[in-house]
Amino acid sequence: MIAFDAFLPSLLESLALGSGDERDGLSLAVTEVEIEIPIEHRLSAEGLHAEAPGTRLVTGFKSHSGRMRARFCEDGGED
Amino acid sequence: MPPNRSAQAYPVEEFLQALSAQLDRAQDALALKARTGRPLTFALKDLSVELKVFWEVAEGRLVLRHAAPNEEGASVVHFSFTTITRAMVEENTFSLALEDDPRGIGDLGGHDVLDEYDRRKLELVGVRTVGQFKRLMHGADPRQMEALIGTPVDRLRMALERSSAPVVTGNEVLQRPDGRPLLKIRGANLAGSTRPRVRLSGEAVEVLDAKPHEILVRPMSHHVEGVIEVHAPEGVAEGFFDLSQVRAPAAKPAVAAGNGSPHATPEVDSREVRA
Repeated sequence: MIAFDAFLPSLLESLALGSGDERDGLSLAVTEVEIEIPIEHRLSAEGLHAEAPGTRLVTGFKSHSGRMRARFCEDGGED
Repeated sequence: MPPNRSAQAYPVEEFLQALSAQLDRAQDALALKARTGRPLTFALKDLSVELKVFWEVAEGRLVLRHAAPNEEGASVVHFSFTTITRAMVEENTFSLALEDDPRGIGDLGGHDVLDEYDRRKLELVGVRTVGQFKRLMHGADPRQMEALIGTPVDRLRMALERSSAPVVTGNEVLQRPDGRPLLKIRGANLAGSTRPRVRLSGEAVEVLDAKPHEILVRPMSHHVEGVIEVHAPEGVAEGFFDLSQVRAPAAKPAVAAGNGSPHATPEVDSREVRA
């Protein structure tokens, strides 16, 4: 698990936020992203630690997954 | 935030403060990407988290502990965050600057007055400062307050008595352009309907301005350090003053470098004094 303040940017980092190139005549840019995923979490002295659940690995332990929804918008853009 | 002794459990407000600090850091990390030359940067606008936790009571406080694997019966708690502007923060934040008696409830005394349990119960009804405590008790029957808060009426009366006693909590030396220092005495209950009398090292000095939480006086030219006595309507409060830092340059008039004007800006020597 990693600290939640590192977890949030890493989620955004994992997404492709645009495609194409202006030189090709067409490009797409993402201006708003909403992510809703289950998370495994742990409370700590620093706040929250979280990670995406390892859904393909069966360990025999039933973890209590929480859930999070985060909405990122282009900085400076209107809601 | 300090962990609970028996388990990894944390008071809700401390957990939320830590989580808010994490969101601030996440927002800063996202903003930093703009400096790396990326054409598009993102900011976190809304966040909601659903956590599986157990609620516990430790030392009279409600604390949260995350559910461990295979642990049944966890509660689900939802937290939602959204971005707010600085103006909204200021509008909804208690301003200590506007509080006429910002001392903490703990300043009223130790366990003989209000113990930790009493203070926590007062916090639960939004009372964190002595000023708020006085407003809560103003015009109220202490017996009714005992029934509401649970603190014995004798201790409430004692706390109320102490809250109205004058106290000096600190002082600040203000240096005027002409080189003469003024002394701003901070505290509580220092003035009422009548102007208080102030003595420095046993000598009466001129009181220029008097408010319940601060008094401005003009020390005499020979005053360097000693005892402050404020004779307020409800009693006498004492503290200590020290003008030695400003008296030394006063003997040799200071000239501000560059423009040749003496003391272009007032100098402030601030110190806290516990009476």
